[in-house]
Amino acid sequence: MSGEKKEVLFEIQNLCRYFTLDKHNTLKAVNNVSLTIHKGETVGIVGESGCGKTTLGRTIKRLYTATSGKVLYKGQDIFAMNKEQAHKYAKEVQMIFQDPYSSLDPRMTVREIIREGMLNHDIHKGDRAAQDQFIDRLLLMVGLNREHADRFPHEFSGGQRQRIGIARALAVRPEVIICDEPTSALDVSIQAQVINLLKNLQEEFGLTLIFISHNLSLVKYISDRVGVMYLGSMVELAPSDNLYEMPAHPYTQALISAIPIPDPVVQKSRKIIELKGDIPSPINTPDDACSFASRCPYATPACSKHAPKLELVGENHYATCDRVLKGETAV
Amino acid sequence: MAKYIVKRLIISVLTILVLCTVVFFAIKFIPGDPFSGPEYTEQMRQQLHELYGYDKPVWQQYLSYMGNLLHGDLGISVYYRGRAVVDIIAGAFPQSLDLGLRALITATVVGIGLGILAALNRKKPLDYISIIIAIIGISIPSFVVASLLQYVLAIVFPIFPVARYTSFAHTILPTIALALPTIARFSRFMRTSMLEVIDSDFVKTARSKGLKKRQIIFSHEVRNSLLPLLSILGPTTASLLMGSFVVESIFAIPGLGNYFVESINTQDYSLIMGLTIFYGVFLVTINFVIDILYGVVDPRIRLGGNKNG
Repeated sequence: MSGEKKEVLFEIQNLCRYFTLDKHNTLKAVNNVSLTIHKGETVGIVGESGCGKTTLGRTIKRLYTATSGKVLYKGQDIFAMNKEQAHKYAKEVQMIFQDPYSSLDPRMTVREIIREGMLNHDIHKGDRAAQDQFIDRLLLMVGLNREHADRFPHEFSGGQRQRIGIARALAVRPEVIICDEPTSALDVSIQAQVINLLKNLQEEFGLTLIFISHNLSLVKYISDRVGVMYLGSMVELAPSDNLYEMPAHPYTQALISAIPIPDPVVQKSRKIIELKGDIPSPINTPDDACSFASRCPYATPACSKHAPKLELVGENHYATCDRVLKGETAV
Repeated sequence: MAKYIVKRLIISVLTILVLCTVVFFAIKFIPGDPFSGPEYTEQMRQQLHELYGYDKPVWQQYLSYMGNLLHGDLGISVYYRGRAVVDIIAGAFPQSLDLGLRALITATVVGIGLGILAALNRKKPLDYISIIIAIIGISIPSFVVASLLQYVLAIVFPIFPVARYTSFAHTILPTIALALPTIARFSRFMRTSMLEVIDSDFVKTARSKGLKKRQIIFSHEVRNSLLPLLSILGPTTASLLMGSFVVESIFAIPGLGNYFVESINTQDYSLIMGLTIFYGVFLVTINFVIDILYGVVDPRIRLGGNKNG
């Protein structure tokens, strides 16, 4: 899927989400992120834990308000919506959460969990039989069966629960699903099943997926385009294949060199870029420096003097690194 | 489920049995007896002992008491000459029950409501107000609260009647005095439990479904917050319904509370036993009801371990 001529669904402009901890400390969870998402595509967001990818997802979902910047959905600012528009937005954009064990209300049966969203968004309004039928169909679709409908969440395994979460999200006929690390709490074998399920459902319903994960191989597999986040900012954005073959930003290069390759010969022969130190604290990060400067192997004094912007470095390929722009790095 | 109930019933009976035994021997080991006051001569004391059977060995007394108990006979009060313990309880309990129920309902509604409001307004004025109410409710003893209410609202500003227990207006002050500590405790419990639920993932799921705020609060947050409260509801109910010595004395309510204190002061063996057993049976029954309620409120709790309940 090449998304050039596609309809633009999301236009995220300089989105910031800060958390004020106290008078002097601000946590910049999402800092100046801009991103365009087209209808029907899958955008992966990767980064270490704490880099702001979950906050980005939740802000797009309107679970958080933006500190500054805009998110345009079908041309409309989601933070300037009236009640009715917000309700419609809540229906069209669904979210799947990271922890399938805690994200389902333990006091409700699967049927109640799924029906709640349907009632709220008038799916098969007033017709309980049709609702039940739809619930059965949804359960089949996600690989469960109708006998599961009247059980409680604790009776299911993690993978099954995540399937319930997916069925729940699909129940309101959404256009976009934000997947916030939907597989990180699952076994590897189950991860693959859930990912394939998402991929199939996307094709079937023409869904747009925003896929947040720290698992690079997974993101590569499912995404059309991938954005790499570091310390609240998007440092690189490129079509999936490009990004993995020719990473431009030193951080992305380091990340990709760390993906294990299941071939000992190749694995041994390749160069692994090791990053020194830990990820710096996102509290009170300076606005006028490259966020990666403190750990970048190629950092120069100039890197701490101004914050680079996301700029075009190749076909559909954006990065925020001065070196790349000056052509100093062989990508 | 039926198996579970039978099992619980057996355990309950055993609990009561152990309670009776322990209390029976405990009060016999307290030095002195009901007739050790200076008004009795040695001869009178011996006659009374014979009359009540206190001259026999303790284990014989125990057996005959337990035998009577099986027939529902709690004996005759020693201090209140000639009155059967059963009659004393039957005469006083309705007042305590009435006041206790009022206090319980008030405390549950106000306490839980206050807790919910505090949690929804975390670190805002309403939250701090609820903390102040809770601190007052827990730390100020009930005799201060009761006397203060009586003095201010019945004597200085004669809005409510001073004492006695005959009309609705009479019930208001004692109900507040009795309910206040429980309001305080319930509101704190509810706030904590509610805050935990508010931060949980399934509430985020509910929000991401696009549900209305009211719907999220009632069908997800409150419903899931009530469970921890259920575990303190049992003992609280028992202690409220059994009457409070302080509140009943101050407002001159002829309830059970007074007898609890008097029976100990006068070493009225049969009344102590009677009240203890009554309280015990009451507490065990309420806990039993609440254990069953758990299953209703929380589907994850399957009583008796049978998978389909």
